[in-house]
Amino acid sequence: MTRLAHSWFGLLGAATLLALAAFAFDPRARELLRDAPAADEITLAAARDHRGPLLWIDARATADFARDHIPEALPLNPDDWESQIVPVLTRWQPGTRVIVYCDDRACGSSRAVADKLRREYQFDDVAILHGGWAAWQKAVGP
Amino acid sequence: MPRPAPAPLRLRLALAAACLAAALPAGAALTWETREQRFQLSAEQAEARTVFGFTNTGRRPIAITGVHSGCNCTTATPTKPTYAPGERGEIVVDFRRGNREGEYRQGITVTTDDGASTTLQFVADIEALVRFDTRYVFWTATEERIPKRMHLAFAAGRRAALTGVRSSDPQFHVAFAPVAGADGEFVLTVTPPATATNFAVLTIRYRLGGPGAGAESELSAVARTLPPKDGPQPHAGQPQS
Repeated sequence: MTRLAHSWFGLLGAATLLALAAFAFDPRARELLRDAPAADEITLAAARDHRGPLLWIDARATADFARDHIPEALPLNPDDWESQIVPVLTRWQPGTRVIVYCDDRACGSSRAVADKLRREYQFDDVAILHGGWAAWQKAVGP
Repeated sequence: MPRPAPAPLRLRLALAAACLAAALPAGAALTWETREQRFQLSAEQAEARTVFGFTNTGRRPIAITGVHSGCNCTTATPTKPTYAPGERGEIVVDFRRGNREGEYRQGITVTTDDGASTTLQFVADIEALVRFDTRYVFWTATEERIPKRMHLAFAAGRRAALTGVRSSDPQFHVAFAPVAGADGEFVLTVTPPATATNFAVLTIRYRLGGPGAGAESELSAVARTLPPKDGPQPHAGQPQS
């Protein structure tokens, strides 16, 4: 009886290990694990907790910004940079936290804008909104 | 001839196989040759194209129901909407750099009628035509108003000449000079007004290929004397004092 129980437990253990291995190699599982914010990202909850001057930058296409955007955000995208940078610089002062967002996690424009603001304009506190505009919409609701 | 395994062992093996089959994912019918592509764009290139190849390894036809890039800079299109079992297809991706430079990452989500969703990614290494150490010089309210410099360098191997610099506010004085011994490098020296609090857009005109060759193009930089943090904020070209 004990031998039979051990063999069933061993079987169950082996099946569990195989299931975990299958999960680890499943690309959909890797997507879930990748959901943690990157080092230069900030969650919406943390952004809302920030006390101090805050400037939202919308890195989506200008037409998307015109349709809707985070309140008080300014548009600044790589395609319209020259015409959009001046209002951003007018609003920014040293010590202002800047949070850049674009469509969602797959969008690279927010990182491109954030990198350029740090590298060429000496902005000292720039983060990217984890999950982008999609995260804001999910939090705010329809 | 091998002896057949005893019944209890056959039962255990069958159950193990059943557990394994249940644990395996349902199996995306599209098998991708790669999910990430990397390519370079030189300073002169405005766009690039890449393709993501896949094969329908499922047992039934698969239709691509959506391809989404989340950026107007990227269009991604399947070569056709539906693929028979065993058939190969491609997602053709066209990328327009705009003013992007450096490393640029973009995801593309592909959805199919079996409910699966796959995220592809490309990484574009984009050569910048011009690199600034800073495009924005500013003086805080308590800072001494001494000149500050901006250093700009054109991409390696590009002959370039600065033909002029204009400030939107004449109270900011701007001069430029080539860096001795360094082709394609220039220094702008910006002198702020002694007391005014203002904001100036500096328009830098340049010509590639050296003096007299090619059309002129423009870059911009910004200079600003900051007001006290609680004071009124001037706009570009509108002096406060």
